[in-house]
Amino acid sequence: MFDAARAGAPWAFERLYTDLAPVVTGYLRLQGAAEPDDLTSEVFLGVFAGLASFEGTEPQFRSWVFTIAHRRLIDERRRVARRPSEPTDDPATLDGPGGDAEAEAIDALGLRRVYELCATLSAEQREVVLLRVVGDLTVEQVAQTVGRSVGAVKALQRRGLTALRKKVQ
Amino acid sequence: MLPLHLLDEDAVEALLTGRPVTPELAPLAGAVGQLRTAARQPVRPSDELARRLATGDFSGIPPAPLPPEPSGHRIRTWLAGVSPRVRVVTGAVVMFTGLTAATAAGALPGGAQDHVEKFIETVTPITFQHEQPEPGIVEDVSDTRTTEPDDTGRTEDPGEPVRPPGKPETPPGKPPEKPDNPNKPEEPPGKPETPPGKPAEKPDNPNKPETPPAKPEKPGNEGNGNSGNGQGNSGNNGNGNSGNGNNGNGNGP
Repeated sequence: MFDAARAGAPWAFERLYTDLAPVVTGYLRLQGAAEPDDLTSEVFLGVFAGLASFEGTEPQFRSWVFTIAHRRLIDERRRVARRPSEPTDDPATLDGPGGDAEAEAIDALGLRRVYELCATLSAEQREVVLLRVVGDLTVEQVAQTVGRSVGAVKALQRRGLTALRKKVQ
Repeated sequence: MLPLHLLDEDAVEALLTGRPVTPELAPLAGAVGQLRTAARQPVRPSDELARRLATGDFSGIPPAPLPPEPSGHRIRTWLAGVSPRVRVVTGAVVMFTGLTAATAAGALPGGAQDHVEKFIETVTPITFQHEQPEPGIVEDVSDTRTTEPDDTGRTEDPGEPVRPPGKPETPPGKPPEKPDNPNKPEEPPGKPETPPGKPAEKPDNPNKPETPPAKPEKPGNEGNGNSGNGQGNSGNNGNGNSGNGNNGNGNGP
């Protein structure tokens, strides 16, 4: 599929996008991105533009895509750094800008509970746990994506799961 | 129910990868499953992405930076791009450095350790010292260094170390330097060759001179070069004292 995509086959791009775009958008949304759908499109535009130079396996491609998504998320956070709070750290803020209709849609998707779970994690713990669970990356891939050591990633994911455990019990 | 601190690494991996867990961790596994499920909703591409997906043309868009290569891959890539001569030299340097480190650590087998030590001491300025001089012998060396020179400008020989067989004391074809040359001091006045309190020789190891043959202790120092020749004459490693004595004789009234 990578070879076909490098050759410019539209079906190959479509397949790659269909496979990975939902989880990338989910990661960005749970990380508090303001416009996760648009950010996902930016990520894939850059990834597909650089695909001709990419050499690696499917897991490496997946890790690369999430690395780009993570960097785009950091860039977006810098752009909106003037805002005082992160949307997902406080679930109550979910009812604010979107109004009741958006809140109902979120409830309908069952996301409210997920946002509450994410709000129990620190920013570093959430980053690592989401990359492992949503991104389906290994510890080493997460460490490379977020620029931390493997030991630090293991410690963060353990503390994150412990916090989640306290929340659900 | 397990205490919270008993969330071991296997349980963490099972939870994060969606593998079955113990019943005590089922609520936590359910929460993690909610995270996983919530992030799998279909998403619609932007107009530009949809247009380019349909055509397969992504030209004119800045490409995303490629993932960094592991260091081992970078080394292999570099080696593949250099000439065979550079590869051989690089390999030799790496091997020699590793061999020197192993020798310094004393990690080689007994016979090989001695041979490699001699080789490294011959081709490099490195000197391996793995025997400490006995305290009593050190005192003898100190006494030797403070001995007054005799009329010939030589100190008393406290015990000439045995030279390795087959090695001449002076290089062939080079006459030994006259120790009583008053116009050419071997050392500046008042400057001892070795710092006080530091033994200048190791007389307990007669088979191994402290420095390689024909190699001055301080490269670039002319006085030391003369001392090296003086060493060959007297067979005494206390060259600094000998040189000072000569200087005193030459400059005296």
